Amino acid sequence: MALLDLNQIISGWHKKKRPFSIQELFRKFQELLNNNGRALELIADMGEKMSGDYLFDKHYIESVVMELEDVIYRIVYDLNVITNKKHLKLFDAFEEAKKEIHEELNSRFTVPKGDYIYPLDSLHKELSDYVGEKMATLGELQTKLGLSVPKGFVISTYSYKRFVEHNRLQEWIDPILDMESTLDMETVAQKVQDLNRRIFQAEIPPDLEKAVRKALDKFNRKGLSETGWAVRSSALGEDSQLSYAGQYLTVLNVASSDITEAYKKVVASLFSQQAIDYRRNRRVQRKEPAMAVGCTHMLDPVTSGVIYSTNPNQISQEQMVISACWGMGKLVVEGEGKSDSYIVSKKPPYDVISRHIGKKDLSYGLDNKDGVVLKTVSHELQDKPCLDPAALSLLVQTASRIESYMKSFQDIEWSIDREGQLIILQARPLQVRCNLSYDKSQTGQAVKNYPVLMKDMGVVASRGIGTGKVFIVETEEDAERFPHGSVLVLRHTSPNMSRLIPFASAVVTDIGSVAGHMATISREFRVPTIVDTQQATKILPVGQEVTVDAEENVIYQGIIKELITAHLIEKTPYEESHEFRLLSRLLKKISTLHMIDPQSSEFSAGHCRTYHDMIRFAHEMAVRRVAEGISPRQLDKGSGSRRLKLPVPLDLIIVDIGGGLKDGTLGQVIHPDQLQCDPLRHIVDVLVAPGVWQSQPISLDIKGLMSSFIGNPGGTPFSSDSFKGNLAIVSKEYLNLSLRLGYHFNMIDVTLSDDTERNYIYFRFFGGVTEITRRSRRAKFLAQIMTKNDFAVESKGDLVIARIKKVTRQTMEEKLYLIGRLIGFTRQLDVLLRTDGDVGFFEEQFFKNEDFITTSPSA
Amino acid sequence: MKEAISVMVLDDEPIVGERLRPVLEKEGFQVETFTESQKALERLEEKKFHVLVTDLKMSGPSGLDVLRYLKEHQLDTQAILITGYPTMERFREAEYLNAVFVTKPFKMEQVVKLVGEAAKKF
Repeated sequence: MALLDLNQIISGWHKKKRPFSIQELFRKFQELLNNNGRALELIADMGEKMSGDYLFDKHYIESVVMELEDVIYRIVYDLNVITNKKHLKLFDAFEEAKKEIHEELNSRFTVPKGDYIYPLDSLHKELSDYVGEKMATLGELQTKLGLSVPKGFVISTYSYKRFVEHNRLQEWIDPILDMESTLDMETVAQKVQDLNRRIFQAEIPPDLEKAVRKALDKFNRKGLSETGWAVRSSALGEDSQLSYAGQYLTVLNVASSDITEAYKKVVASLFSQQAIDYRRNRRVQRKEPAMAVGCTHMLDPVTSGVIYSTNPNQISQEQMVISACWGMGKLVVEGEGKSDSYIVSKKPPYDVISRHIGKKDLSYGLDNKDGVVLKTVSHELQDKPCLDPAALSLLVQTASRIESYMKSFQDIEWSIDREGQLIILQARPLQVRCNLSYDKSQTGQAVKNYPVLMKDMGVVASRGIGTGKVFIVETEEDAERFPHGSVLVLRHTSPNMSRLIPFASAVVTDIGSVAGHMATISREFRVPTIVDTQQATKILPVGQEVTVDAEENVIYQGIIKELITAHLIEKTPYEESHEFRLLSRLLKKISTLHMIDPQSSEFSAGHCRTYHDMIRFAHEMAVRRVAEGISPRQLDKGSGSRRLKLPVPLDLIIVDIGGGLKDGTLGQVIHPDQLQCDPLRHIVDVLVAPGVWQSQPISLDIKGLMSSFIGNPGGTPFSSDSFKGNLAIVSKEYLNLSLRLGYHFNMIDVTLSDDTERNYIYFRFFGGVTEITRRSRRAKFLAQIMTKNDFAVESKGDLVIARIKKVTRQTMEEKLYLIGRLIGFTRQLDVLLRTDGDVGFFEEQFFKNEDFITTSPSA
Repeated sequence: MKEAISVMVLDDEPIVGERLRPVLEKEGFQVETFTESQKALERLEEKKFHVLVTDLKMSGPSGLDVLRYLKEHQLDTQAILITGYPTMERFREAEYLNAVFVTKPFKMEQVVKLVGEAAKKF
């Protein structure tokens, strides 16, 4: 229906052969910007609810999602109106995303379409819908933390779906999963048996079978001899906030030829009586469980066991608990004794607090054919500790890393192979329920021993405690070198730096807003974050170990383990609620940002997957549309255009779209004192100030001169019929200023008001009179100055885009003063920038001429 | 020793009781949670509660019905009314029935504070 409206509107213009009036264009443009802001606010609001401070119900989720949908739809619609239906594909992307979100909302979790097989070394957390939480975590430990895990692959949840469909198993599954079922226990038990029998008899779909064979061949070829496989469950939701510990099946040492039989056994364990009871008791409302199955090379380890990253009986003691046995860890997991147990301090040098060396007369090892067998342990090893201090220390350090990365106490299964290498088999949240045994005053005491570096500076954007070494990121190169687990310190926030958040133990910025994109990502990944501190980059010494307490808004020097422990305990386990899990899954589909580089070929409507992608894309395209310029026909009579008379040779056409000029302003030529547009008045004040307008003629050297004869230089994609002059679209608080000075094109889009949340400056600059190298130098000059003045800057070739938003009126005025000066200073600067060294020289000149950053006239 | 303050939490969305219970218990309150207003009314007949935290809109008797019950029986239970849509009319009625308002979604600490304030009256 709405799409039809759009077609009518647009075909309507063609019939009349009349382009949009300027007023209409800018009204739509501003509407789009407002909706953009609103959409980001809604996403931030949803993110905030994930912090655990709020109580929300499903109704909240539904209503916020509905409002968001409405806003996004209007953005997509308006973008197509102003760009003459150039981005109709965005409607498809929107519908696609909306459909997926509604499927989540209706809790009919649909298994996503993916590959049949995923190699373990390609996995990360985001793939958990495809490979289950257990395998995704294992992949993440390898790819993100660089830990050793077994080699292998995962048969995906999509394979499971295919298996179920191929064998028409759904009709047997449904009655068992029906939560409202009135069937008596006996009937359910009978149905469970029937289903299990059917699964064992089922056929693996031929294409799936082929894919599994291929994966087996690939991994077998890599090894010297054919290895056995561990075939392990990795169901959706397993090992996440719900542990499902021991609910599903693992089959050990399976020959390649028997993999499919083992696969069916593991799939069937999804529907064992105990698994069904477990789901019912925990109110798991997901109607469609799915099983991914991990196939990993069987290890033949020397020692194996389990480590808890805290002592569940004495959490305040900063200890870890380790159980270990010879051979495979089955004895420990099954709790049959015949193992050692150690309690080790969490803090260096990892002292052993206590140990109990059991009599380990038996151990599990590989059977010659398949499966595992209990073997007798040689006499001299039976009473020998199976872990030495070095191994214990390695275990504790590794568990600490996993704990701080996962942000919860961990229950980790591990093995040590014959080369002494530690291999992680599984990591999941440790279920701890002992809030009362923790003494709060102890934390208070511990904290007193550490110097405070910062207190109550800035605003907490994502709560929590994080520790690590300070690492300041200023450039792309710094970002490349960012050591995982460090405290990320930034001058200001930028979408480009957001990708570092998952690897940071905490984030601290000088500038930034709680409602910004970065804060949203921080909350999503639950990385403690403090923004808007003004001074973090100056106060926090690089390399210093610090504790960021984003609960109390304090940063301490040194690492306070007690604070982390207290925090991990204090958290009420809200993550387990259905509503929380739902919101978390929805946010993944809503707030993840893939569209980061506007210069990339993938920056297109077809590549938008989430609402956030659409917002970002629509904003960029709308700005480009406005930057393309106005056709001279649009400036015909009736547009209300006038000419502004200035003492400097700047020929500026003004179009008022509401409140930009004083009431009763008449005539074609107007004077600056008739302007009522706040942002333009600020810029004009600067331009006419003495010394700002570089009016002396600049002598071109030969190379620059030759280039200037070419006329309209390359890389200036103005449409041939666009208006070539300088144009300001104004209202009281809004300015869109397009300048064509010295052959470069400069667009400045500003809203300046008393409402900090609405304020922004968008600055776009490209082109020039000389060849690309010199123009790029000018771009570099601009980028450096804007960055130093807290703009988020993107620059490529001779294009510079700088943004700043959500700052106070006073800051806005300072920035507009800077922009006014830059307009005057850079008019023909490309001509002067003969060498790369000149960039630094002129930058120095610019700052030397006037200390404007701290002393603008408006400040 | 002073009698512990008892709190009834009534909301047909189980999450409300599930999450409020531990934080209120941590503050030393005795908490009972209900998801069906009929059952909550039955319990009110048996036991006196100091504070009631109730949703407004529920199937069966509404939050206002429960407040009316308190008034009719001249119980001095302090009521906190949770609602998704506050309207002036509802606000007036709740005021008449001596209840304070909280709109969903809310911060947990906000309700804890309100319960704490209500408890001071005993």
